[in-house]
Amino acid sequence: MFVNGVTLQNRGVPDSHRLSVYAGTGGYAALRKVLLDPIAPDQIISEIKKSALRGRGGAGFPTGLKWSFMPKGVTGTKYLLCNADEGEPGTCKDRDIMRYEPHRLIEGMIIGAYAMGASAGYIFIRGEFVEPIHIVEAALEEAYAKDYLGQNILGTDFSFDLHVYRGAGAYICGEETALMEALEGKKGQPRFKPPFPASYGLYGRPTTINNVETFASVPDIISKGGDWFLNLGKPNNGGTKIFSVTGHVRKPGNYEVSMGLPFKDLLEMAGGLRPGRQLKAVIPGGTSTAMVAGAAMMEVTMDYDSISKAGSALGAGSVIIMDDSVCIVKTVERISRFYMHESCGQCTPCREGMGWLWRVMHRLENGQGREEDLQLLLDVGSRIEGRTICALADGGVAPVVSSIRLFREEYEYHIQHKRCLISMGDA
Amino acid sequence: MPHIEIDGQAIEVVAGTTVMEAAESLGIYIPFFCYHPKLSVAANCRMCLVDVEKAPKPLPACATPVADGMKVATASRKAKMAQQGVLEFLLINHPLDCPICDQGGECPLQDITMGFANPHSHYTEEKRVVEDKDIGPLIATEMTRCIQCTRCIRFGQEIGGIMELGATGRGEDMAIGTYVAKAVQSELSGNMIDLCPVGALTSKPFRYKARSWELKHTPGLCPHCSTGCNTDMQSLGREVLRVLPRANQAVNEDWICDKGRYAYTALQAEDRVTQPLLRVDGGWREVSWAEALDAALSGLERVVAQHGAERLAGLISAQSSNEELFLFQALLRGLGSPHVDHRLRQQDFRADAAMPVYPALNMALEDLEREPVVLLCHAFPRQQQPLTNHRLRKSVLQGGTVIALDSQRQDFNYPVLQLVADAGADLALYEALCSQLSGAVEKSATAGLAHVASVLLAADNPLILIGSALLHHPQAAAMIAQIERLAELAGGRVGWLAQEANSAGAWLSGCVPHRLPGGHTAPATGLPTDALWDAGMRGFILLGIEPGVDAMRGTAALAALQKAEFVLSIAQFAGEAQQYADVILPMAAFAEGSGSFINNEGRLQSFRAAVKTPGEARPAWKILRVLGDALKLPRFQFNELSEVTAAWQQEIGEYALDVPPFHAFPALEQDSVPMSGDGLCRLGDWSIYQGDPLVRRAAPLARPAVAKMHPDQAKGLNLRGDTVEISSHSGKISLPLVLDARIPMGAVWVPMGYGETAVLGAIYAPCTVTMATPSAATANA
Repeated sequence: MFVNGVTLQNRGVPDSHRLSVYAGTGGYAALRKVLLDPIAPDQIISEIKKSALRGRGGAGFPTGLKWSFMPKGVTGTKYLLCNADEGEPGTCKDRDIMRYEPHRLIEGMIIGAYAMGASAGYIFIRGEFVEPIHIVEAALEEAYAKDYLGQNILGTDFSFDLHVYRGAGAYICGEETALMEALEGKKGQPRFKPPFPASYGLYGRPTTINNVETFASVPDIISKGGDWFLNLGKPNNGGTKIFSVTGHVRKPGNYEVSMGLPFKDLLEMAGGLRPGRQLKAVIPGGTSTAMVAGAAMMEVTMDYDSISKAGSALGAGSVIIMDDSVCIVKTVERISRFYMHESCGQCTPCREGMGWLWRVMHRLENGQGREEDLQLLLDVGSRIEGRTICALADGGVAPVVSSIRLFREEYEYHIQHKRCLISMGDA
Repeated sequence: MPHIEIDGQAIEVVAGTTVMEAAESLGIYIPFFCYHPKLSVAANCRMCLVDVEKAPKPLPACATPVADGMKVATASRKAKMAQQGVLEFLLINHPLDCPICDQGGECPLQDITMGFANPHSHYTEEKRVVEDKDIGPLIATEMTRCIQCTRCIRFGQEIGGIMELGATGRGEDMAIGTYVAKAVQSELSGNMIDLCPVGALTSKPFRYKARSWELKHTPGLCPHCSTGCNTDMQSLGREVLRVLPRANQAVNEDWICDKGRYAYTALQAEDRVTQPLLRVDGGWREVSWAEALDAALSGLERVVAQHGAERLAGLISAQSSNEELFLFQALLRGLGSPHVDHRLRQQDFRADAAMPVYPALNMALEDLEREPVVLLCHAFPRQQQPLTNHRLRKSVLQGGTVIALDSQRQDFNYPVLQLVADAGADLALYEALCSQLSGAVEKSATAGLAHVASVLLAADNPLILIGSALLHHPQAAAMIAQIERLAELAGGRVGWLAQEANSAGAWLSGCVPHRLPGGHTAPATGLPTDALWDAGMRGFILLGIEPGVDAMRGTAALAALQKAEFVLSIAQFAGEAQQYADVILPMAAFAEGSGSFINNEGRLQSFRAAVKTPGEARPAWKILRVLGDALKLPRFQFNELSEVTAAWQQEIGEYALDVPPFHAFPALEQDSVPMSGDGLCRLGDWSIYQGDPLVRRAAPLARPAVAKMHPDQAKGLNLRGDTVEISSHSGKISLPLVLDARIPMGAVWVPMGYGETAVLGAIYAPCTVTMATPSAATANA
């Protein structure tokens, strides 16, 4: 087992966010190697492909493949964006990378920009992350001062400018095309794809966007090799991954572990459940992923493929642990309100459907459920899923539908007895 | 080219075609709300979801490009489930208040619900209500009905060129509005009503007037500018209730401007004449046609008999039909008068001989949008020809360059290279550009001028368009001569942006003092309009005009008309005519008569009456025919309009669509210096909604007159407060002052077309501006 070895490897070292400390542990060596040795852009991309690094923002798309979509030989600006809008309920990993390892992110982005020929980049940071914003801005100043950013970096032909953009507080701006709209100063709403960002991105220019953790994995892949990274995890699921473990565990927090770690080991690392409690359910990838029953979860290993086989998704790695003191109906009602509130309002099924789901959930939770409501929720969900521009609505439907499938009797109890099966007083 | 199959029908389409477009060409209907062929694709309503083979999810037809071998089902179970689902979502928060909604009967949401919805809704929760907004006098809002399709938003951004409506709020709180409460200003705003697929945006003046299915539709033509937009006049009984665009891709595409849409509201204006009026002992009496015609004939005969026909003049609106213009000049010339004109706003007529047969664009409107370089000479088409302007806007959006020379910076809705003359020195600007083009000056010119010259020289055959406002300048002839030179130096070609709906017809029909129908030289040249006011005319025949506000020197016009012994006014409105006329004959207004216009391109288009004339009003061609017949003039024996049209056509012969923009220039006499004496140069033009008797009376379009001045100029004159006093040699008025950096230093802008500003006289004349004395300010208020 490999713990905190890649993107959070300096967490705990005093002043780990300072360039001097980062450089002292081998930071920016990968960038120097890339630019001064030098390593050809194509070679970088094939090394990333070899590492089996997959997008850490939630979708799990192979990073090397994404980088190879960037058109070559085009004139004009190409953009590289970092999605640091971390808004998925249950996730707080990118925040810690920015707090403790901002230079690892910056170095990863510079290497990415060099590999893809991007000349400008933005780190789009969630507006509420005041402390990380200040830290990343200070880190950028240090990087500029050391000639890692700006014109003719380290005396080479390569130039790259990187800026911080502070988001204004919308979950939807974590969706890559909505993020681009927001960066352009417009209302944050996803774009219809195709065209994809690699051909029509920020300001209509070729653009690549990756998550914080993805970029922060890059420097070590370059300095230690794609195979090294791949072998940290398992085939097709290379490297380490940070899991933000929250909920009913005794030591909640960010745990960076090898891909493929059994869930039960992760649970143990997080201090396990409170005494006398049973594991009821887990949301393995943030609230937009389906719930998994506790027993089934104990058989799962923490990687894209295994969790997907269990009917959910690894998502952004936000593992929400629920023990038997939890009322599923109340929990899902709260999650539904979040998606109603965060729907951008652009396309019909999401704008109208998220509010409908919440209103029914709200009635159920408040003792006004009807016999036909469960079928209604499933029907409304099926009319939303797969019919919208982006994935937000699917994420809003998943917790409702999965929880009804897993905990139907609890819903029925709410309808029949006009109250909760679980007395929250037990908690 | 990709081969695809939709509902089993095979078709080959060009790459890049969307499924929606391919289906349309097969005649297969896919329901939609947000899609519009003239707007960008938003794919937000999700109504057009269709089933594409091998695609796991249903795809929006409007945004899905075809791929070779694609098989699409628009009515499979999967597609239908998706469509029904979307409709149900659209309706859960829609108020379903169709019985009290003006959109009822012409509502895509209603129609598509009838055609595609599952009749049972599962929704039992509370519905959303959206706070209503006030976005001005033209568009009524009922935003609870909105389905957030964003067509109105996209129209503003993409067609109107100013983003006035936008979406605020997220999720089900997303609402369309102006963000900061204000009235929508775009001159194309009414089109958003047509685009709205529900009753969220409806026409305010039309509100609750009729149900759409009760309305009679008559194809019409807009009489308010030279574009010649095709309209659909909708009426109930004797009343025009609505004017909408009638799609004609070669002319107005799918749009009309607000002037053309809302001017009909003036048809019922208070001073509309519906009965012949006779001045009797200083008062007005409603009389029969027989009595009125007797009075008119004897009045005209008296003037001719006592003073000679050369003391009689006729002035006609260029919004008149070809038939009316033709009969009008025949009447005047038949009576022996050479004084026929329609150019009330012109001051300088020295170039009359050089003018083309008619003011022709010399190209198709459609082709304007492909012009790489266009030079506008005192033309602001956004106000003067809004949908011609839209073509220019498209050319700029596609990478074209538009340059404008003018007396002030104009508020274009696309990027324009603008060169502004020093106050009153407009001729000098054209001379300077010519010098720059000829290389006579080296580096001395301003950077802007040098840049414009280099753009023109680099262009291959740039298009030079002369605007109607250029003809309002006291040195217009000299400016036209410079433009001829400029075209030669730049290797460009020249077109004219005509002012009125039938300016072209007025020239071709012989309603100018020096030319007969067909452009033939008149045997006796009469006086142009502006000269008539000081020529001691004893009799006037006016048709469809109000010289007090339509003429460049309104006060002088009124004085001349009041001094005349006999004035016959054939008019829709009596208000002004009662100040000077002896007989007022009520004529058909917009939508009440039939005839034909020639637009700026030279396109001959005809229209017919949508409603009966009110009261005893008659179409002007019939009035002219009766007068001519009674005066025993030759060739006035017409029974039908078609006979007049045939006679007109025979007289003017075949006219070309491409005419030489200039005839040979006569040697121009020494220029008078327009600006003399101290003070500011008074700029101005007829405002968009003040240009003719009908639109001036349209209450929803009314905007109060204001004076405008550069902020630094106001500061320099120590003007503080809202109201100023402006005086010229002919009069004094007080007006609210608006600071506007688009007005050059040394000038004050005061609009024409308002009764209260007419006393100042002609534009480009000197005037002084001072703080209004408190009494003057209150008197004005």
